[in-house]
Amino acid sequence: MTEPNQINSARRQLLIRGAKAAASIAAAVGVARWLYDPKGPGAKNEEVGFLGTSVKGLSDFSVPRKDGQVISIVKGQDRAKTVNKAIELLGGIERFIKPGDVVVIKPNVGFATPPLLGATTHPDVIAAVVKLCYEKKASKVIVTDNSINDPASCFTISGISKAASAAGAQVVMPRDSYFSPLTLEGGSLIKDWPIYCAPFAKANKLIGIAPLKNHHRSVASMTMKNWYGLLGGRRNVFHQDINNIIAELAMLVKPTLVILDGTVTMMTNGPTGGSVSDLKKTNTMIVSCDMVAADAFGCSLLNLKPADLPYLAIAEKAGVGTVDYESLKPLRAEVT
Amino acid sequence: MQLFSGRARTLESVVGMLILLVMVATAAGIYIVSQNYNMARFGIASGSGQESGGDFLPVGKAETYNNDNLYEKIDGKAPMYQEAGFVKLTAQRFAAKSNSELGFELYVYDMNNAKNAFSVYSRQKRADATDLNDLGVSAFGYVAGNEICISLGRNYIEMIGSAESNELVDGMEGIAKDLSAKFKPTDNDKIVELGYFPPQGTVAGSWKLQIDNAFGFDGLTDAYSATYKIGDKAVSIFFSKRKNADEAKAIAKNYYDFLITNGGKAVTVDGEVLKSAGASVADFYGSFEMVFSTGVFVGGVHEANDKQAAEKAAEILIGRLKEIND
Amino acid sequence: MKITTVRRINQLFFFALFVWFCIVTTVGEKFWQIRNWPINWILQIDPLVALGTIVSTRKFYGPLHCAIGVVILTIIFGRFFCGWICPFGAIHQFVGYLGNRGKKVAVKIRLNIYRKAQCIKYLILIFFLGMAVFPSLAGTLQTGLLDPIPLVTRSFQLMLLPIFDRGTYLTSVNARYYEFGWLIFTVFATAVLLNLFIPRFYCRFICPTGAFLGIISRFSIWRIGKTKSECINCKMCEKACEGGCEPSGNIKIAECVLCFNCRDDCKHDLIAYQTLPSLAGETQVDVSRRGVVLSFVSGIIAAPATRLSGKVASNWYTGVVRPPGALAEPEFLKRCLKCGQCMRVCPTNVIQPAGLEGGLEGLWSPILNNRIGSSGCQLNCVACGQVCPTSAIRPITLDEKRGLGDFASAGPIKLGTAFVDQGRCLPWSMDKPCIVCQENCPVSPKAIFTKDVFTTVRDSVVSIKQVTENTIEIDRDIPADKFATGDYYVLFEDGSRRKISSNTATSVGISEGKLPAAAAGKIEIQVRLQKPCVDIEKCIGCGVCEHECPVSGKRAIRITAEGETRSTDRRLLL
Repeated sequence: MTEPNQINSARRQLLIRGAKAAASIAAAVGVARWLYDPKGPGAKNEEVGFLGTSVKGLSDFSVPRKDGQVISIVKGQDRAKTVNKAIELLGGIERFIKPGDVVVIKPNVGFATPPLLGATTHPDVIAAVVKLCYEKKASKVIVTDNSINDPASCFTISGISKAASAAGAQVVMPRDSYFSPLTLEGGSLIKDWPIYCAPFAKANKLIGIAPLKNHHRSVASMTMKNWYGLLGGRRNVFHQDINNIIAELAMLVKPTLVILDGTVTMMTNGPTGGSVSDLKKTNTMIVSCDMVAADAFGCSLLNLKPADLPYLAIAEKAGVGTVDYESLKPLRAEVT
Repeated sequence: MQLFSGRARTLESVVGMLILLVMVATAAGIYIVSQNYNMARFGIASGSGQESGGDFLPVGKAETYNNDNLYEKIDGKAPMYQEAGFVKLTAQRFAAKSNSELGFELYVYDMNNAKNAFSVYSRQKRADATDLNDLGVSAFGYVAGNEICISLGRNYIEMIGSAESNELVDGMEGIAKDLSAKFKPTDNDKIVELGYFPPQGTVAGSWKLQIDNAFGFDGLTDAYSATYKIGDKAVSIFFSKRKNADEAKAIAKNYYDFLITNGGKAVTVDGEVLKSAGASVADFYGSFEMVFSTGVFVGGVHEANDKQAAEKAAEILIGRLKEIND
Repeated sequence: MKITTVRRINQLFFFALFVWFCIVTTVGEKFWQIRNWPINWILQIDPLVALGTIVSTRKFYGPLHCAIGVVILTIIFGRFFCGWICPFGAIHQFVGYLGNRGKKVAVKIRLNIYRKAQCIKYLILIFFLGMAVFPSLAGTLQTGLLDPIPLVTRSFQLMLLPIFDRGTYLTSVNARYYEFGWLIFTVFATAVLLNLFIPRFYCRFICPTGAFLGIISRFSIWRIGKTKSECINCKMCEKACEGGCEPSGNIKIAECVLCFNCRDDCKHDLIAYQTLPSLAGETQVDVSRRGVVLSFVSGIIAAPATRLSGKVASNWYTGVVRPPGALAEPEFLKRCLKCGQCMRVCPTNVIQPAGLEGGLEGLWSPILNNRIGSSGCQLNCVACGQVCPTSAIRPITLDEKRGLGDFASAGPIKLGTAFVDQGRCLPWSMDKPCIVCQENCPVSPKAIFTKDVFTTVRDSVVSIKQVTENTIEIDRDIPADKFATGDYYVLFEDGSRRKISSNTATSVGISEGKLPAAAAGKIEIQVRLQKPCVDIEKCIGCGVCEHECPVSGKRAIRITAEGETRSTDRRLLL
């Protein structure tokens, strides 16, 4: 009873359906083949860590060493004047910053406290250094830190946001995505640990600026402890071995310069302070290419000996710098 | 009353427009309100949590003294203030919140005008003083040991701490800032004469004003003096502005006579500039005193050890005062 | 210009304004940050916020004064707030429009008929007012649960903004978290999706603010109504009726939200906004007296019933740590709208919407969770109190929070007290140096101090084999390099100690000081531990220590509300 053209049409439909079915089967098998993983997850995924691709280390931001121009110590109250003088003694900013450089300044912006209380890097030093960088035609200056307290509050209350922006610097707040896991060669603590890498990616100069503070766990917080701010994650676990982590951070970071602001020193209740009675006027600014030497000198302002800070010896042994700062013939001056 | 019946299209449009106008006004109002802000309200502002003098609180009532009983408070120094135009003294004790032993006393001397205040300020300035810079227009201040002293408009202010401590000095600086905001000097309080010193070489902050009896000579009044640097040598230079040139000339002569009468020896003057200004030099027990007049100014050099330096400084001062005369 | 067009522009404007206020609730000085934007304005003009706090506190809180304007305008013109201003209403209207687009006119008319169930919202209102009215019977303000303005505020502030801001980072540096956000989101999404069944479902059946405005609009001078009693009864006027108020027949003025759609849709120009009642007659909403009494009495009983948990008495949950400046718990519960403004403005994200920790009545009220966010409560921040619309968190100044200036004698505001969990603390229990909590304590002098002790390390009593200069060789293997961290010492038999500067598996090196003369026999390797202790007189309960504690799961130092300034019954100090 069926008409031939109906049969033809039914056949054609069958062929089309068959082709679609074949394509679907092929697609299913293909996808299965493509994604096939016979072993399942291994004990550790070597290629891509939990936080993304692991990086090997940070760039070397240092400039060639000149004997006799490694560290300068300038006495005076006015931070802008002392830091300018101290950099001048080391050969001037032109020794460190070349036109077109992208400079990262890493102050200590750990706490949401006002500059008067000395728990954070004083905005005057930052502003002075930013201005110096731009005088030598740096193309960009970035000021950043991974704060301990709420970052936005820290940058605002410490006056650093305002001072740095006014001087033309870009203030960068830490964002989760700016951290990449990093392994320090020759280290035992920094292994696949999130490090604040993104702001340094395009930079070629790095200046650390630290206040001089008493610190109950590590005895003193100065330029080397300042790099603690590069650690991400729940970094406080490293307090179990504070001396080695500070030393390893010093091995990891090779800055252009470190600046230790001892205009005011936090003698007690560090590193947070909280009262002007914790502070003492010590009127000293230290600029150094050798952070071990800078911190070793800094001890004297806290009435300590370098031997009181085990991380100095560890870092010296690892070749980071020199504890005996006098052997570097510090350049000294006084400005009023 | 039908506000809008189905047919009242014009009324509908007018009311619609009015409502939109109210809406726009609301938006504008909100924008205006938003612009008048003070971040300190939220705490999160640049430098908030700063304790400007907040760690010290007044203890007891403020005391006031006038000419009749000033000696009760400061005894021996009273005549110096009174000769310089003293009107009233207000004194108040402050103590640290944390430690009532730690504190300071604040003295505010009302000296009637800015010159009088500056005079007592400058004459008592200690040699180990560090100047305070950010006090505002025409205000002078210094820290020395446990003291902060300020000349602020018509007021001379002293704060004397109970101990030499940083906390105390910071607290006093906080109060100093509060006071400089309170007693803001006006343009009238500006002491223009300080600008008459040669701009280069005059040591900033070394200014002194003696209202009368300058250098022990009662004929010399309103004398401004300052330290002037000639190379590495320092010379004290001074001047006083008179009503007219004749008076200036007369005072210069009288002062010189006063020096000679009291044992000074006349010394010859070198240099055209000095001669033309009628300068006379006396060797006064081993140091040189010089006095001259130019235009309405009496000027000179006081207690110089080096005659050459004294002459050089005097020449520069004469040049500068001539400029001012013109 | 059609009045309905003007209405839509107005709704759009207030919705945009609302979203803008949500965005600018961000601490900062840029124009899109908080400045002095009146971010609470829409909450403040919400008449139910004013009514609720008046009923619960017997006072009319100053900043809510604009609400009186809305009440007066409603008495004159009717429920314009619902149809013209309410941003939640605008969302419902828009979603209802989308959901019912393309439906047949007859279906639309059926969707918008008046339903008896519309009386439920009046009962909800009365129930909530019943809960608030008697302070002696644990009066508590719960209108915020369903009051549309607090509801939409917390939904946007705590859910939609954080979702949409992932990636743009406009309102915070990092992603924000809100623990009980999922429930807020569920309520919001349900309310919005119900429009697909019946347009403005929430407004017609649930909204207590609409109910309140409905009651006071009964006397409105101008009202929608028919200008003739008879018409062809085409019911086109109900095609887009937002309130479901039956303009075709006996209009329910209390349900009318002044959308004016009926007037637009009447082809015969028979509907007007007029001072006369509708010529077709008006009727009241069918709310039975029995229903009113029942819900009022239920409300009165519900309040003390929730308190049976004891959560506002001795059984207070230790985790309910309120923001600085929060009133004592019973007073706080009379004012908190659960609007979420404090949680949104908090720069550290530490203020969280509570679950049932603080009792049923504390749902979505602000508590501090130091495991969320960028830090604990910041010492120099008082933003939460500054944005609280009802002063459940007082607008304190920094001086008051810190106990400075005029507040020196009162001392700083304490949120609670930190307690060290010695069983979880590394130095107390695991012989590991740490004291991160002490380091981060922002108070001066620090509220966390340490007890310094030397403890012998496990399996480390060894005998000296040989001593050469500064190296001691020992008879038994110890873990290599483990003790050269600056924290480990050698204890000699004569009781003296030397810091270890290096160690191998079989030796320890000393760099500082000479070895004691009689270095022989046994030595012990000791670790110097600083064990944290809390000075409860100094601790302000800010939670920075808890936030920073490296024991990242259940922290080894935690804040609980003992000693908080706002209550006297939780005090710890003598």
